[in-house]
Order: sequence, then structure tokens, then C-alpha cells
Amino acid sequence: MVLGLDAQNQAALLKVVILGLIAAVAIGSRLFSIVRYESVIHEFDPWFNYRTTRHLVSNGFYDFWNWFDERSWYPLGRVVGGTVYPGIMVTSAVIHNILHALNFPVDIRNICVLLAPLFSAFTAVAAYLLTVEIKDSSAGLLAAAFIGVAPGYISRSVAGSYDNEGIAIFLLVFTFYLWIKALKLGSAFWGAWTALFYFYMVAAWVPFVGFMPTRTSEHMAALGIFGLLQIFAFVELVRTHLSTTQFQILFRGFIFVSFIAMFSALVFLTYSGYIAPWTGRFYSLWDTGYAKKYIPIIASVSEHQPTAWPSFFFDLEMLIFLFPAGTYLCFRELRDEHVFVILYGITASYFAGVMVRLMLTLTPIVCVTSAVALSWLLDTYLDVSTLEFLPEEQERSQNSSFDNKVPEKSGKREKHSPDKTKKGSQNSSRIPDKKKKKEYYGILGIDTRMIIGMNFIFFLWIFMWHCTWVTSTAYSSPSIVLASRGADGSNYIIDDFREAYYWLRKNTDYSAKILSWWDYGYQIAGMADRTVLVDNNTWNNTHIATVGRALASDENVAYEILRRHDVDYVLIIFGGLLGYSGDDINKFLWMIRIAEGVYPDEVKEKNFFNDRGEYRVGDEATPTMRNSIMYKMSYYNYNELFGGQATDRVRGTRLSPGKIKMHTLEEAYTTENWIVRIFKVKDLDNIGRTLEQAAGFELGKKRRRGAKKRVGGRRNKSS
Amino acid sequence: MTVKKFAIFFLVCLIFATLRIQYSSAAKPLLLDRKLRKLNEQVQKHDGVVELDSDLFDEFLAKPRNYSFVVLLTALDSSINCHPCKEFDPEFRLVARSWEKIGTPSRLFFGILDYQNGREIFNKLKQNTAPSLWYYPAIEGPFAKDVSEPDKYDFSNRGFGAEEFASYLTNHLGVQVPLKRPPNYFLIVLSVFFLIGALAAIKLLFPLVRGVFESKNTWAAISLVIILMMISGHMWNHIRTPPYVTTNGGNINYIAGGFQNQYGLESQIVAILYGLCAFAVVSLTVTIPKLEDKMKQRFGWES
Repeated sequence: MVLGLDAQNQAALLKVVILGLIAAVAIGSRLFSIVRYESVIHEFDPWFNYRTTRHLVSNGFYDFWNWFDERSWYPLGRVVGGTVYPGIMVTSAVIHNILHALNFPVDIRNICVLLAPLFSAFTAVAAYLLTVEIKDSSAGLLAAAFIGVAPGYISRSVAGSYDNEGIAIFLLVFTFYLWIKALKLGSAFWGAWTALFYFYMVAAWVPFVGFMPTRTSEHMAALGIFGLLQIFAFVELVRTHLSTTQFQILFRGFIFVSFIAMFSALVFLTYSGYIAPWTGRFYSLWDTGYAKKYIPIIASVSEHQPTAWPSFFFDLEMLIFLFPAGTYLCFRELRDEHVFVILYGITASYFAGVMVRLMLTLTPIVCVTSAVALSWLLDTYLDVSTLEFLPEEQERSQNSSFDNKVPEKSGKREKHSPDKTKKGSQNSSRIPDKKKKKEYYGILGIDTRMIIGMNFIFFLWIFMWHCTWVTSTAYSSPSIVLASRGADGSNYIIDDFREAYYWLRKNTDYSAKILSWWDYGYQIAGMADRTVLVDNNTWNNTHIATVGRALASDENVAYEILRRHDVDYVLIIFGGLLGYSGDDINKFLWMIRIAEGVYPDEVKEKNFFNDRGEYRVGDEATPTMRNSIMYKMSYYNYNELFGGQATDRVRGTRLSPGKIKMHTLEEAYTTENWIVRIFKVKDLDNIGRTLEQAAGFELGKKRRRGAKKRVGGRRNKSS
Repeated sequence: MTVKKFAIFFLVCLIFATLRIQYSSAAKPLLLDRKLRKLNEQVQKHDGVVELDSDLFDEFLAKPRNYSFVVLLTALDSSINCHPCKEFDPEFRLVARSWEKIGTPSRLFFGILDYQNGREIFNKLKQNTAPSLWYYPAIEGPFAKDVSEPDKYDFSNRGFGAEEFASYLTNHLGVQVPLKRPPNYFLIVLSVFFLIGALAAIKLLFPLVRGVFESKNTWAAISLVIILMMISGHMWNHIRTPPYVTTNGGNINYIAGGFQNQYGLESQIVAILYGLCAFAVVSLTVTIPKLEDKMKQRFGWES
């Protein structure tokens, strides 16, 4: 008796304590980024979520719902209320309001930063509950511990990564738990909770739903099953009113007619346009070559690439081989919930193979199944009741009732809690005492137990070590603040992004329009609070292609595009000085590809490849490349920094000597490490010359007689 | 007001003048007419395609040309053994045939120049690989655009499919280039036949193979194979088609460098290793406890 509790209560207390500790670890290991950097929103999409959450908190729900954001996608604007995934914003706003009602004046930013770690603790609890339904509470605790630290999930839920996935994975796992519970008990109470949480999950992952589920092809299968269930219920009703033979005839005819009718209706509706055909993103999941050919913008996103085996191992470590083992063990029992687990495992592993991003949905089921496998193993090898030195009689009686283990026997481990009352578990002998040879002996030798036990403890230790290491090195970078290590080991923080955005915020007009590649749209809107042309919500391919075209064109063509879109500043990312490889010159090919998709006559990808088919900068760059404003802006004044000939440290190339001249853009700001460069688009010339002529005049060149005089840039004068 | 009238008069004069200029150069249309007639004869004869040799190539591409011309430089002779040429040839002819049936006549022609008949042209265009495909836009006439430079079709980027080729032409011409792939009746009949055969076989054999279908182990095996294939990066191989292995001076490289990279064999090795590990875990849990004494359990061996 410990703490005056009996064994059952002790086990319950232990479980609560262990779950609490797991939750603490789950939260704790996600705080690396805060400890290293500071409490700041990460990456790209989270900045939009943060901006909308701020809007929701300060202006209220109705205003948020009707919000038309005219400061993005200039001049088109964006209907935020109808296109946003409201789940995460509403969740943080509710937390914020509750805390403020209790007089905790917490800033909304801190709530947003810490939301994902908080929900990861909930996910651990949900995984526990789900696994309890599949095996027992010892497997549940293992699953909770796994999902708490598995890098596959941490990658999307570190502090500051304020994205839909942060809460959606919890909702996913919890909805599945409620669904299985409802399935097992057949109770409407659990069914209602399932529906409620399903709604919540949809709110976190899907924008305005409306009638979409009835009108797109993606949803037809689910809708068909729903219809089938109605038919099934109807048939059951009819059966009670008819004789068997009558029913047989009616049943067959009915099945046949309804199948034909439904199928032809589906085909008809699809062709007549009532049901939208599959969307591009969906196609790219099945026909894996589709995206590359038709929608470069989908293929260009790095998280839409297929997954090679190292990423699987990196994100799941030893769970990856426990996953098939656990799936197999599920087959041995094969109740309804096991069928669900198996199906989930197969589909999730397929989708995770197609897209790196979907690793996230695979991780929960991997944690659950590997917890099942490992827990069976530990059950077998830690079960002291089958040790050989026990008296023969006792051993037999215990083997035949493997599951009704007596708790007093080993109250130390929570797994022997008496709530384990499953029947028909795989290890119990199916054939009772009739047969002479026993089916099941258990593990007899203490050395066998020791070896296996030590081995798996070692595996678990390595697993924890790996997870912590991955979290700390790979997934905790906010990507708006970079860190590098000096030769002496000192830490050096590179804060160029925020420097540039802050400069924009303080030094430009509130209504200034900023052109940049779409990756930085949300950050500019969130941190600099300026109007952007395109952002990470890539809904309008044409507009993005226009931006790509402007950046890929020579100055005169680009100037016209920039003027037409009222652009005041152009912002680019340049990593050449520091060796930051995620810069715009490396992304440039995608810009060109996307632009070529819409403007095949104006932008041609092959003009950016030299004779040897290489994409190069420096001396070997093609003339088109060298004349593009992206190239000019990137290397503007760069040679002068080195006092002659500069080297690009990302591409490892020496640049061609000589000054880069620009007449339509002027350098406005360049950050400390040259990562962000901002250029101002010059105004029209005061006396109606072209900017090229004006620049020539400044340099003391005489204007040749007979040169055509026209206001604005001259078109079709490309070299 | 007289100024205005004068301006209108001047404009009318100008229009007439330009018209006259067009009419006056009467020799040109004659030449064009002859060329077009010749081309159309060829098209009629060869199912939409113009068979070229060096002389015809020069003649049809010479200056008065109000039509676009797309030329396939190919080498179909068996001595050269150009596999992609043979692959692309039917696709090219398919697009040509579709255009002949549906497209605007005398606007675009499809020419084929075999290496046998046009070595000079190959040399002139500095082509030493086949197939290569060139698009020559119309220089004059109503279909002419501002670009007059020939454009080379990029096979490595676009591939050898007729659909890609048609969409390429659509981009250049600015009108939809139709593509009607004739249904492969043989394949349809064959697949229907096999479908019916398979259904019949299932119907007949069902009592025999029923055990296989209803066995848990079948489904478990299928599921595990799918899962193992997926987690070892099979989809990546499918999409990126890496080499199976590479050799480096006689040594075989099994493992590809880089984090997002792998070889075909590498992923298979990984799948097998995962399978072995999973098997070990399962047998430790399921098989070993069924062995009857300590020694057997230690070696996992049932004599």
C-alpha cells in the first residue's frame, strides 16, 4: 500500500503522473526555438495566421468574418473571411479572451507562439486514449511518449510555428478516438462528440466549406458511402416487412437499379459541370507526374516533393520498423478498430511517400502501431509470472489465464493494472488443457529477458536521443532569424529579415506597394505592414506569373510592368555574400517556369541556360540572365564591396568584373549581411525623357539626334 | 474643316497605295501559289505529312512563305538505330493527321526530313543528333508574327508525347492544334476479353481460392508489402526514377549521397532491412514464448 491506495488506484495515479510528465516533455522539447532565439512567429504561413488572429482579437469575430484585405494581392485584394482556415485563429482568440477575463494580460503573440506546444500535449493524451482502445493502457502510454517527441510531428509544432497543423493533428487523433469509441459502444453520445470534433478539425484545415462536399469529385466516394448506409438502413427496414423470397428478388433488383442510377447520375453531373472535377493538388497525389507538367507552382513548393527513405528514418527513427510489426500484430486480433488502424496505416504511408508534407499525418498512426508492437514485446518479456522457477502448478494456472494476471504479483509496473480485461488476446492459449503440449510457455530464462529488455531500453534511449537532436538541430530554426557558428564556436545571429521589414515599416509610406516573390508576402504584410502584390496564398497563378515575368525581364520591360502595378519598392533575397542558399537567384528558375507557363512568348526558360545547358551566374551567364532585373538587383554594387571582382558564395562562382548599371531602379536599403535588398522604383522623368536617356545624360552622354522620344519605358528593345 | 477633309483624303490615298503595293508584286503570289499547291499535294498523298529532301526543304522554307512549317529531322533507317526517332515518328504523324482533318488548311505544314535524304540540311543546321524538331513561323501574310526565328523543340523538357507536341504548336500558332488519338480497338477488345476472363476465372475458382481471399495472412502480407514499399521510398523512385546502382571505377555505389536522394537498390535494401527488423520483433513477441524450454528460446530454434 502506497499513499494509502489500493493497487488499482495506484496504477491510475501512476498513469496520470506519467501522462503529465509526457505532456511536459512534449511541451519542453518544442521550446528550443524560444530558448535559442526568442518568442517569435516562424516562417511564412504562420505570419498570416498571426496577422489574422490579431485582427480577430482587436476587431471581433464579425468584422473578421467580413474582412476584405485590400493590402494583399494588390490590386485584387483577398476575401479573408471566406478563404481562411478559421479553426486556429478562433482557438487562440478564445484562449486569449479567457485569460484576459481571468486578468492574465497575456499578449496574443505569446499565445500564438505557444499554441502548438500546448496542443502537442493534448495530442499525447489523445494518442494515449486512442491506443487504449486498440490495446491497453501500457501501449497507450508508449504511444503518448512516442508522439510527444516524434520529429515527424515536432517538425510542424515547435513553439512559434503557428500553423493549422499545430492543432489539426490533435483534432485528427482525438476525432479518431471518439469515432472508435462511438463505433465500439454504438452510443449517440460519442457519435455526437465525434461530429463536433470533426467539425472543429474541418474548421482548422479547410476554409469555408459551403456545399463543396456535395459538388467536388474528391468527396463523392464519402458521399456515396453515406448514401449506401441510408440504403442499407432502408433495406433492413424492408426486410422486417417481407418474406424471404420476396425480399431476395426485391433486394437484387434494387441494388442493381440503384447502382446504375447513382453511377450514371454521377457521370452526368460531372460532365454537366455540377460536380467539379478533381483539383490539381489532388491529381498530383495520384498521378505523380501531373504537377510537374501542368502546375509548376505546386511542384515548386519544397514540401510537395516525394519522400526518400532517409526522411522517413530521420522523422521516425526506430518507429519505422516497429510500424509494420505493429500492423501485423493488429492483424492477429482484427477487431473493427484494428481494421481502421490498418487502413489508416496503409493510406497514410502511401501519401507520405508522395509528399514530404504528409509525413505529418503518418506520424500519429506510426506512433500508435509501434507502441502496440513494443508493448506486446514488453508484455511478453517483462511478465514475471512465466519465469521458470515458479512452481509448476502455479505456472500452468497462470498461463492458461494469461490476461487475468494478479495485480499483487508485480504492482511495480502500471501495465499490470487490472483494467486489462481484454478477452481473446493473441497470446492466450486457444486450445485449453485437452491438448498435452502447451501452446504458450512465456519467456522462461531470465537471461533472455535481460538481453531483450536491455536491448530495447537501449533502442528507446537512442530514440529519445535522436528525437531531441533532430528537434534541436533541424526543426527549431524560426527561418526568419538565422544562426551561424563562428570558427571559435561563438553563436552569431543573423537577423536581416526583420531588419529589412522594420526598415520598410519605418521608412516607407503606409500605402507603399512592395513587389517580392510570393514566399515573402505574408512576412512583409505581417512585419512591415505594407501592401504586397503576391503572397503565400497562391490562389492566382497569373498574378504570380506576372511578378515572375517582371523579375525575369530586362529593365525596360520590367519597368512598364512595375509602373502598371503601382509598385514602389522591389524586395529580393540575396545570399551570395553569406552563402545563404535559399535566396532568390536559386528560386529564380521556378519564377521563370511559372512565368513561362502564363507568358510563353515573353519569358523563355531556355534563354536562362547557357550553351552547355547550365544555369549559371558570372561570366557564363546568358545575356538574358544578365539583363534580368533579378540578376541586376542581386549583384548591384556587389563587385564594389569586394573592390573589384566579387565571388558568389552560394553558387561558388566569380562574377564578371565591371559595374552593374540600372536606370529604372535605385538601391534603397541593403541589410547588414546583404540577405535582403530593397530597391526603389524610380518615378517618371520630370522632363519626359525615358529613364535610360536620363541616366545617360547624367553620365554625360549626349543625346543622339533622332532618338525616339516617348514617355515611359520603351518596349521591345530587348537585347 | 478643309484640313480634316484633306486628312481623310490623304488616309484613303494611303490605303489605296498600300493595296496597290500588294497587288503590284504579282510574281510573289504566283510563286507562293505554286508552293502551296505542291505542299497540299504532298499533304494529300502522305496523310498530312510533307516528305522532304534537301532541295524541297530549301524550296519550302524559302522567303515568300505565309505559312508556318514544322520540320522533324529524323533518322529512321535501321542502320542508324535511333530509338527515340521511331518512338516519336507515329506521334508526329498523328498530330499532322489531326491537323489535316480539322485545322486551317495552308497555315501550318508538317515536314519530315530523313537523314538519308538530307545530310546537307543536317550539316547546315549543325544537327548531329536526331530527332530534332524545328518550328519555322510564317514570315509574311496574315499569320505572321513579330518573331521570325525558328524555334527548336525541347525534347528533354517536353518529352515525346503527341499531346505535348500539340500544345507546343498551340502556343506558337495561337490557335488550338487539335489532337485526336484514334482509339486502340485491339487494346480495348483485349482488355475487355481479359476482364471477362478474369471475372469468369474468379467465379469458377472462387470455391478453391476462397481460403486465400478470406485468410487474414493474405491481407496482412499485402498490407505489409505496401507499407514496407512506401516507407522505404518507393514513391520517390517512381517519381524521380533514379539509377538502380552507380559504379565508380569498378566499385559499386549502393548509397546515394545527399539527404533527399537514393538509388533503386538502396531503397530495396532498406525495405528488406525494415522487413527483417519487423519480423524479428514479431517473432520475439509471438513465436519465442511458444517454445518449450529455455535453450530453445535462447536460440529461437524449434528442433
